[in-house]
Amino acid sequence: MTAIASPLPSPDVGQPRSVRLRRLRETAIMGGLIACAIFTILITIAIAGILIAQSIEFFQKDEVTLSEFFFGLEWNPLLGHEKHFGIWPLVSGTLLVATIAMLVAVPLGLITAVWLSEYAPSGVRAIVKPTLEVLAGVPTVVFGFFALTVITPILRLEWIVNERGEPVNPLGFENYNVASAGIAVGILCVPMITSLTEDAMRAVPRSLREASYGLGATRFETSWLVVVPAAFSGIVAAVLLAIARAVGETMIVALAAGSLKQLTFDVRQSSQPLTGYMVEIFFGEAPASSVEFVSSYAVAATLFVLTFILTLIGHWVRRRFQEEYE
Amino acid sequence: MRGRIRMADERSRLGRRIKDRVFAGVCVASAATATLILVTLLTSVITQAMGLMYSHAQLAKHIAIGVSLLSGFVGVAAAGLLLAGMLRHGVSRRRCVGIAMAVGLLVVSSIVFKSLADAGEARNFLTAAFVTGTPSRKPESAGIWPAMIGTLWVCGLCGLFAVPVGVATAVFIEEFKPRNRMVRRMHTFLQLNITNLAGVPSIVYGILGLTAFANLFGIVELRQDELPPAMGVTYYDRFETEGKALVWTPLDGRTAPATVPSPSTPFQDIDGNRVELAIVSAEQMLPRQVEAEAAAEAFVEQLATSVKALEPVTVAGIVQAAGSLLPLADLRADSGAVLSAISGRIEGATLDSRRAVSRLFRQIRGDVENLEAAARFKGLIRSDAYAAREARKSWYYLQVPFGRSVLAGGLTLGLVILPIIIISTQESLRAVPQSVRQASLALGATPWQTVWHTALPAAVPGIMTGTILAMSRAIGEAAPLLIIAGIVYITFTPENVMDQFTVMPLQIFEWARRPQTEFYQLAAAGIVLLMGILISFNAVAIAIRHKSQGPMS
Repeated sequence: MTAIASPLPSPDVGQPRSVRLRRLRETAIMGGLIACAIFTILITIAIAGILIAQSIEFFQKDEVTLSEFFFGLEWNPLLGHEKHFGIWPLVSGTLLVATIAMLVAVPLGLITAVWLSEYAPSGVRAIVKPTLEVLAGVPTVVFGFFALTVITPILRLEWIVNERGEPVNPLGFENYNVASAGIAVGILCVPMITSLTEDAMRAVPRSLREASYGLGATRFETSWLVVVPAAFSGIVAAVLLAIARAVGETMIVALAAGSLKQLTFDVRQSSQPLTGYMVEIFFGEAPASSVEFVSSYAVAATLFVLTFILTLIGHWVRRRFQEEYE
Repeated sequence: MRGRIRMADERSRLGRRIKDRVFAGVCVASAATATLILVTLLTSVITQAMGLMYSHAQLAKHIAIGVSLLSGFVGVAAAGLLLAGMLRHGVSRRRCVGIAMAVGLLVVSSIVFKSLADAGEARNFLTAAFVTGTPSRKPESAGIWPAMIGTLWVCGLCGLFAVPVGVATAVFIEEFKPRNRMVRRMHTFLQLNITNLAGVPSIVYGILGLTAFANLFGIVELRQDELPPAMGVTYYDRFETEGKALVWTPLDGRTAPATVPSPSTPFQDIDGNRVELAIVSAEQMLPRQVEAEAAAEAFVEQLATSVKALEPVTVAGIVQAAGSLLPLADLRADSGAVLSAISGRIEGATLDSRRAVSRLFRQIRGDVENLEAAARFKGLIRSDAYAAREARKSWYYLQVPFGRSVLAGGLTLGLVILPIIIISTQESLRAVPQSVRQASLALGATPWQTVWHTALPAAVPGIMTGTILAMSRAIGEAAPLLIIAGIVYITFTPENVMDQFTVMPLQIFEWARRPQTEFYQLAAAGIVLLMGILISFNAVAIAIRHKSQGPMS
């Protein structure tokens, strides 16, 4: 009898007592959610505000002029009695590292992604894909250590020694060099590019491939002439994201790129990137109001603007060139 | 695109086929290179940590030999595959891959064995002592325990902060899509903002954290020597008793005046138990209890016997003698000399004063008993003892600004992983079918009830995977914490959220910066430990994902 008395199970989940109370609760929860959302905007505002305020303080120092900062080719706040603050040596270090990183990461990452998406059997992909995600999470300090203890000795060919047992270093690489840091950053970016590119290529509808094969194209022609162009916006976005990552990468360059602030295109030499300089200042003993300490904020602002532009371009490319199928 | 395919069609069939094969080979080679690099990374770190490979030159040489051997073989194998494909018979692909893998294994294991054979005087740093030890200037005795516990604290706080805020933001963006055009534009802006935040270099977050959390935008200005405003802390004055024991007395606040020891002062021992202390003035410094007892005992014995022998004693003389006796410090002096001094004074006295002598006797005895009673307490304390101000912090101790503390570090890391959590939560919410929500709304649930009881539970596995991946990022992140924590030599584990800290990646960085090989080995051992933690963490994420592939997703 009782079993059939109530055909509808009473909803046990927080039935509010009145509509008013219910509405109040909804409003309160919405308020909380909106507060969280606004918080994320506040983060951006805070970053921009801090960087702008401290950069203004930096440019008000006597040693600094705006024109020297943007056009100067010398940056030596720590040594010498005449300090120069031209941003280009640090920017060149960053760009050099990012370029080498992309030379390593883009071919390796892109081709691996093509293989994963178009060639690899599904069993292999099921193993490789999660492994890539784990590898994307390897701490950057590990890659920095790898650069310092493996890549640099290999570049210096350290096992070739003269009769006194000193390394001959036939290629002329310094102990700290841009190439080693760049290669390590590139290795760091490979899983990221592979994973994102593979996602983009998998999103290309199967019908396109089938049409290509139907026309008699080989697997190579299908993947390079059909799938890659179709997934192009995703690939470019992935590469831009990787460049942003390489530009902002800190621990590897702090360990392996050295601390020489020079405008050079010789990858065998040391050239400190923006992030490396910031580590040097914050890890050092500079007093909080000194010009070299405040200069790190101007460097951070430069870095922020660089990555911001890259992110915006990536966003724009993805929206502009995204090809909609189905 | 189409034109190129047509052109390709006109070329020779064999040429196209070769191109296809070559590219397949390049693809496999590229994937193999990526794998090889990562295997090299792991092998090199482990061999260094365990002291199998002593010098970097040696390591580099072995890797170079291994890599060239392997790539040579891969080239041969690729050529073989190409040939096999061209001739369409002969060697099967599976056999080729099998041989390639076997040779790869052979090369890797030969590197390991060669290095095992070369392991000379290098020591193994990957030991239990390394895990439980504290950082040290000597590499042999250095350990990573404070950094491990620091990582636990910082990442725990980071998760507590970032996960609720991130999930709430994602729910707001995904589940409460506005219809109003103006508000929709703001939504787009919110999304763009999060995309941008995900791309901000983590070191910039470190600068934000330093200004926002560690210094609180400079709102609270403190003088150099001033203690910051705080809660969850009790201030004490610490004294040292005459017996070299420490006692404490609680204060009202950090600005209370220094305590002067008095009989009413509530002294406590380290466990907070009440301690009775006898206050002595600065003039009557008391000797150590045991010696005092023995000396007093002996003196009273002698005094008693000698007084018996002396018949005529003046009261005045005895009182005078007692006065010179009372500073009990003198008890330590040779009692014989004191006795003769008394004898000298009372010589020639006429009055029989047996009673007076016995009173003196009793008084001295009483003093000695008091002394014994005092010895039963923690000790004696001088009335002008120096009060040292001490802050005893409870586990919920909080101060503003946060300073270079665990809390500032945790919140900063939280900012770093917030966009990652938001994006992964958005993706898993998007994967929940719309029909689930429609059913809930049709049953009369409010929008929030729909989210809380249907959409969110369905998205939980995805959110958890994303959270674990974000947390593993947090565990490995060093750059922002490097700015927050600075260069610190921490040998203790944090006890509250305001303590200074170090984390594993930071400790590894610190070791890797030093030039000595032993410190490189320490860094390698730290990396092995860190990677072990991360891999087990990620294994959990993958297990969750596999388990959660239910009908909804």
